[in-house]
Amino acid sequence: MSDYPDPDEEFELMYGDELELLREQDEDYHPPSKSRKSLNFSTPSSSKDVSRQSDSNGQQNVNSFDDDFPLLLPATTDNLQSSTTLNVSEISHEPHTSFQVSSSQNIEQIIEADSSDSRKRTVDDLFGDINDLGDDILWENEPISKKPKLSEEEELHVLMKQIIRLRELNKEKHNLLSGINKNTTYSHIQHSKHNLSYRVPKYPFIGVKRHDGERIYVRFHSEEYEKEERQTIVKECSSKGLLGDGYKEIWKDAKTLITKQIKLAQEEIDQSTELSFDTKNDGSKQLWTDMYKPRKYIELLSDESTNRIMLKWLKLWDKAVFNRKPKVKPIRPAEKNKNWFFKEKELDTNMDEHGRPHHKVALLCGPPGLGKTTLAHVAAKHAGYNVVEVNASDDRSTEAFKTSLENATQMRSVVDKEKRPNCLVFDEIDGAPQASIDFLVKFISGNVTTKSKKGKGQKQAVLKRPIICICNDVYVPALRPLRQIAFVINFPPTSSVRLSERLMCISRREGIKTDMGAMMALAEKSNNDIRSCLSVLHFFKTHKKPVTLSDIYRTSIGQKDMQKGLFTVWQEIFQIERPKLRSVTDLNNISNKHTMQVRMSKILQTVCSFGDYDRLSQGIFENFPKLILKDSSMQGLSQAAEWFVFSDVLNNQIYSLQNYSLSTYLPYAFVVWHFTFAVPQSQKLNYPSIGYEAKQKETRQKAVVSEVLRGMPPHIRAYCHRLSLILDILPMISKIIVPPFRPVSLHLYTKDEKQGMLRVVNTMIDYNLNYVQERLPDGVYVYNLEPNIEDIVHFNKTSITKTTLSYSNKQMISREIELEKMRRFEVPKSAIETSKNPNAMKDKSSPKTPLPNHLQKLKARSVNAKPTVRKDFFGRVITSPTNNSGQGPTGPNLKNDIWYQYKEGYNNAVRKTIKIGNLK
Amino acid sequence: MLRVRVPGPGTLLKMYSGTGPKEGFSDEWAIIELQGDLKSHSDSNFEGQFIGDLHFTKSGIPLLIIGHHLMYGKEAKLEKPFALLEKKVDGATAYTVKSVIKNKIIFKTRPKPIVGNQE
Repeated sequence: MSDYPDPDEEFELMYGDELELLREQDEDYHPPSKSRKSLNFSTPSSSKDVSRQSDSNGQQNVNSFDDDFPLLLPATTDNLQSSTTLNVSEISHEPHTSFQVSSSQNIEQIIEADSSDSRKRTVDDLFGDINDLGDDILWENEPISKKPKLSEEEELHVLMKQIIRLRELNKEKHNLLSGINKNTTYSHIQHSKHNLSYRVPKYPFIGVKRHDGERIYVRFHSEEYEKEERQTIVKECSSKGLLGDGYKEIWKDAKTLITKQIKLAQEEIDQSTELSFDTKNDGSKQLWTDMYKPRKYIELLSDESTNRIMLKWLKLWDKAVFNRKPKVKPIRPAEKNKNWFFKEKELDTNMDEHGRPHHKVALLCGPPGLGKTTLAHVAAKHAGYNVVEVNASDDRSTEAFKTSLENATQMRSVVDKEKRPNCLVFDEIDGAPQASIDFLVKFISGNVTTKSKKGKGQKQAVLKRPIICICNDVYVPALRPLRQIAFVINFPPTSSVRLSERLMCISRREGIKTDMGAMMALAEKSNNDIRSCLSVLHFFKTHKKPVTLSDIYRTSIGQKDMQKGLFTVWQEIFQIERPKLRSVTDLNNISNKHTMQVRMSKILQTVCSFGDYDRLSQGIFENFPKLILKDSSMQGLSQAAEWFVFSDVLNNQIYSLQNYSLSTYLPYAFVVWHFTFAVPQSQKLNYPSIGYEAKQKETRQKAVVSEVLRGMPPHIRAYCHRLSLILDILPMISKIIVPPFRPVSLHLYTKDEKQGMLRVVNTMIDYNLNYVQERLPDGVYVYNLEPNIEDIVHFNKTSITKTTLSYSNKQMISREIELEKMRRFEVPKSAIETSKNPNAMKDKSSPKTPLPNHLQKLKARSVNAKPTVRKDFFGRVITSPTNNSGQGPTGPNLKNDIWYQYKEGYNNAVRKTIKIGNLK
Repeated sequence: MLRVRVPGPGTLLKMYSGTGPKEGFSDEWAIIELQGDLKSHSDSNFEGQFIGDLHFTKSGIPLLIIGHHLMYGKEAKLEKPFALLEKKVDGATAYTVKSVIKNKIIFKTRPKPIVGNQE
């Protein structure tokens, strides 16, 4: 509030005494004392609204006048002088402005009433009992008060008119609004009485200036109080509308109408679909999915055209299997379903030489729960086959696969009385090992030879039975060979309507009270997965309660095993889902559907169920800069970036310290990213590859650095840290080793140039660099640095603006390096030599080149066998009799004169004929 | 054990038995074939010189020891038997067949060295 007194306060000051007096007299009833207002609300008699107001006015008048009246008079006089006009509607007293208005009207009427009190009596006299009008009479006074200068008669005239009109109005009103609570308005009067003041009140307040400068003080309530007030008002007022009936009753009526309709619809369905389920209800034990499995072709729920094409394919085998001509209708162009969602291959009806259809195997693919397996079974049975199923729970090693394949295709069951031929169904073939699938493909294409025991030797096994393969994902790499030869049938999703009709039928049979809408919702929620729908219903059955729409929405079934793809998850993060308008009853849901909370929980759930946070965040990180975002202040982006940092820190902690408890916080980053990046339209996303590429590059460059380090001589290596090598040395070296050289022969170099060359060569050797000749794809030879440190020291290849050596220079350097390396190799060796025998160092003139090892001859050590002189006890020498015979048998063989020289090789002596005469 | 000597002029290698109960020469003659040369340290004449010892293992494999060489050999039948003739010049030269040599003993494997003990 301003410091100097504004007009109100001036007034306040001027009439302070009187106000004080008033306050003493009337603590709680201020507003009426203001009096004399010209209110600018709409003319009273025009609308029902006003009539209601007037109606309540009367009530209030009756109640309030008795106690307030005495006080009013002085106050009125006071305020008349000040001639204030209170535009109450200007005071925006919190939410219930409308009531405010009405109450202000009331105030006015009170005042008017009291000012024209005397006239009231005259009116009384005139019209007799006007109680039925209640307080409407007061309204009559208004024009009078507005035109106080009118003559008495005129006033009366107007008054009479007024009264008559109001009576009529009243009649109408009483018929319509029989149950209007009259207390409501009264309480509002009280409310405004306590809440508005011209003087500075004792309660907490807010000062409001009226359009004419008058200051009004509005009570300042606590929030709880306001809330309470609001509730009571809502309770009292809004439950009754102009409909003349309570909202709840109308709701109830509507509900009964709806249920009636549902019943009718049910009966209709009952009549239309007569399903032949076997209804021996030992039900509790049997799963519903088994119990309500389609058993006949016509019971199939899946898409009709898919079913038909499957059956058609099976029928094509008739020639080979049953030896009867298959009925092949020429496909009329009209039959082709043009708006078919999948690009369906036309069934090739041509036969091969064995009377088999062109495609030997059918490949059914589609998401789970659409009834692929069921279709395969039912269709095969329908076509007269005995179904042999091999699924994921069976052994599917190549051996087992082979056996089952051969058993099924070449034998027939003996037990089965009908002697039906087999039809092999491979369920979930995408999980089978590659070898098995390869075998199957080979088997189908007839490349497998089996040994027949009848001595014919090798015999080609010809597949004579249809094979149906079922898979969820047709693009599994292992299936590629099979996909090429198979007749691929893509399973379209079952229509929700068909599914929900079936569900209705089942729930009726099971005695579950439900309606079509709920079933539709269930079907939609489970993505038309029949199995999960049935298990949900089964579950509800145990509750023995009617299943409603809200029940369906509340359940979280059918969402658990939905694995979303990487791109789907990204798309979900980057896109705000549009609200889907399902039905009128769903309106409530829609309103909450797109609050932040719902979006957050949705993202959280999606991300958590996907699990691979690393890859997800990588994808977001790489895709968000390409998105078109409306974030001019970049605030959101910076926040998102902060979250990237946060998740990075968390990841670091998790992976370095194995602190996995932190991973709970990871998904929340995705929520922030979603809020920041998400836009309603779908975005084009790319698979993140930068991270991988960077990783690749890192390993490559690390290898280069370690290669550099590896070849360094130890005296340089000792001072080279890896990091300093990368940051300080290598960038310089890449420049040092390319001084300007003349592209001429080494012999033509000046001394300085030779020196420079030598420096380059030495540097390169020290850092294990060399040029290596490579052949480019276009046949040009180039010399490349090896290891290529250019990769490390330059950020961007294009930005290299440095002198490069010519080919001949590089070649020369390379040669010099090789030579220098050899020289260096020689030097330490001779150094070792000289250090070993210092004599050689002295006479350098004749360096003694050491003989290579293999040329050195071993010198036999002379064994000087000392003649041992034996002495006897007395010191006399004993001369033993020496055996001089030498070749005596006792001596060692070594003493022998003759020795043997072995001649290696093959003994192929040339035999010469010698004449006996020549012998001697 | 047989001791092998180079026979004198005009004679072939003659075997004589040292193991038999009656030590002495047998009438049987044999050829010993060696893959290699016999050499003398002293470049003396081979005639009548002692060459080495010929043993037979229990399984009948011949075993020749020459100097510090030990050789394993085998008995082989000659494709064409040799006749051992003795020339007599008593007025008219006459040859008498002393023996027919049907077998030979071949030593063609690399000899093993025998390391003699110094002490």
